Amino acid sequence: MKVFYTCYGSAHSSVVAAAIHLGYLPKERVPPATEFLHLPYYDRNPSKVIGTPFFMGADPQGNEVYIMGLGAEKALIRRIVKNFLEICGYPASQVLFVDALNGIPLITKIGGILSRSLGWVAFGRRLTIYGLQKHYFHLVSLVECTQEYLRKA
Amino acid sequence: MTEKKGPKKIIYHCFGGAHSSLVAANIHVGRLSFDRPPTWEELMALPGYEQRTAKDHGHIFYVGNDEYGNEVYVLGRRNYSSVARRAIYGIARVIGLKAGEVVMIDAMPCVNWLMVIGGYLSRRCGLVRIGRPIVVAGTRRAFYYLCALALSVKERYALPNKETYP
Repeated sequence: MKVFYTCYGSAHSSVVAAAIHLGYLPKERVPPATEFLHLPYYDRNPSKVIGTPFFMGADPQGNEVYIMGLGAEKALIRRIVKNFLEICGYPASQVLFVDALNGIPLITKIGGILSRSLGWVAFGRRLTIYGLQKHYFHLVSLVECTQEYLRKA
Repeated sequence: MTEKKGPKKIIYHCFGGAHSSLVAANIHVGRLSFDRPPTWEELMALPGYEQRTAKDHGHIFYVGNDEYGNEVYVLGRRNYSSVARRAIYGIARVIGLKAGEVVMIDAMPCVNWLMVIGGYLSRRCGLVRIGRPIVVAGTRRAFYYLCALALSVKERYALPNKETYP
């Protein structure tokens, strides 16, 4: 099974969700800012890679975990990918899209815009981490639901 | 990276997948002759022409096979051409397709303002009576540009099957 954690630009929330899934970040406590900054791809992907899937790692069950930015029209891009898998004859049951952007606090989005679109990295990055720390256990429960689903599937 | 020899999936894409990309794809598979602009009836006889609406955006429609075995598709991707392109190429890599097995061709450079206005009126606003003659006139005017696009694409992706290709 291939799991795609998606958000707007594959820079913040999807990276953190994938990192929780793979065990790079703990599930029982909110990690400090340095742990966020040491994640691969955290606040690194520029706007011009939106749409590209990035491989984050494989979990112990052998599921491959990817992150992917879908831009502003997530339903459209998801539909394009589903249709593309269909014309390639790839089984749709082998691919799972998880929206990590759902319910992300506004401060993370503002920080993401400041850091990624406007280039004010030092301040924007701090805002994204602050917002994600507030939101952390929601992402943990999202990942736990995903892992539960993967175990059943 | 070396290009894979053999049949490819060629996806023509434009805003709605209803006009320019569809005509280019039909020229590619040889359903439209390219020596003269098509008539109203010929255009309306194309499956999907002037029929797709906003709910079809994002769906990849099969048009046909060309004589080299390439499969030709049409996609409407609104204004997200680069995101769609990166998503499709990226997913192709993830599911193990070889480089060059999927090709995306943007048909928007061939589009003129008549097609934009007519397509907007007919498809977005639902004013078919007003928009359709405009978009058909625009398609006839853009026809040789679409021919040039489709035939150059066809020629480029016909080569790897020939014996002379390195």
